[in-house]
Amino acid sequence: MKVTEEILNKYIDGELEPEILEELNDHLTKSKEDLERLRALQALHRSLSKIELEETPEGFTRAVMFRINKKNKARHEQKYFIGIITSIFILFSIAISGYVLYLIASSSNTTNQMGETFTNIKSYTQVITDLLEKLFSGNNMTILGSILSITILGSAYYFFEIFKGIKSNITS
Amino acid sequence: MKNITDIEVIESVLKGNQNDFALLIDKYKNKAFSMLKRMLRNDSDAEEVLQDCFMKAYKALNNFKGDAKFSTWFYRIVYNTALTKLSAKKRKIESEMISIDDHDDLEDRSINISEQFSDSTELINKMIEKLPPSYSTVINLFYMEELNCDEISKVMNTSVANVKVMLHRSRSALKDIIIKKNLIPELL
Repeated sequence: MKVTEEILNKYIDGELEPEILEELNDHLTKSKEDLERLRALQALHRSLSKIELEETPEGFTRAVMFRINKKNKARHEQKYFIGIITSIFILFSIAISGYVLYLIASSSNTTNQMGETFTNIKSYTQVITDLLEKLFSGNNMTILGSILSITILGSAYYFFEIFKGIKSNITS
Repeated sequence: MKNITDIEVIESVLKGNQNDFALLIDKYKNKAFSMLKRMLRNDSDAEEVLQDCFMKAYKALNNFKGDAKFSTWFYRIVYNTALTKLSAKKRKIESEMISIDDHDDLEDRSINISEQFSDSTELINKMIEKLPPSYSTVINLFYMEELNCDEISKVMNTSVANVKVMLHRSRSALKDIIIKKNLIPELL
């Protein structure tokens, strides 16, 4: 019988067919060389099964949890900031819409006629357009531009700090 | 004390108890560290990669569906991250990770064991170190993590037959050293 490496390995794993197993057992009583091969493999198998695990350095779990908590904190801050910006924008939009609706509604109450309501909408739209034109012209434009620039710069700096934090989290 | 399953821990983490993730870290850190040390052959690289693996696992915990065991899913992250690290170090071992045909140097790698060892564990560790990373990973997952060939194939993204071939060839290569150096008494 030719005892291949596959046969020996299957013997170790208990995967040999009963007939081949019987033939092998019979063969091993006659072949000292193959028996030595099997004994070496069995010794290796036992040693590998008993091998102990390597231990991580002390404080490993703490270090990973610290990184996780730091990352979560940065994510919360980012969400908080985006939430504030979104809320301001929504509140601003609601305020404008509310104001326009209020003007329309108060006007509609007195006249109660659809045609006049549409005329009113048109006139109030004109009022808002005039107001915006007034805001974005002359000195007002300079003031608004400055406020807008400061807001953009502040936001950009905040975002830069957040991304710097995330980047350092990833690289650390 | 009641044994908490991995799934229960994951559910708890996903509910917002993020500190429960430490339970999973404690459970798998030494097993994964042993695997990484054998693949990367460097303590600090192994520790750094393992931290990244836990971070990735935490981040992707929502994607864990529970179809496979958490251990299989996590070891897959570990294995792939280690491969990325190895390729970043330009060791160019990618081809030997999966191929079962390129084993010419398997015996050559293991011949130079001539030092004296205090115990059989040290000797075995030294011999495993001589194996290519894919082979040492198979040995590690099979014996130390006690995964079966099917689970190992999922971790390494290869076929079960391929895993068995790698396992057999690793053992045969190690066995040949044992015979050549007459190390059977050392292991008994």
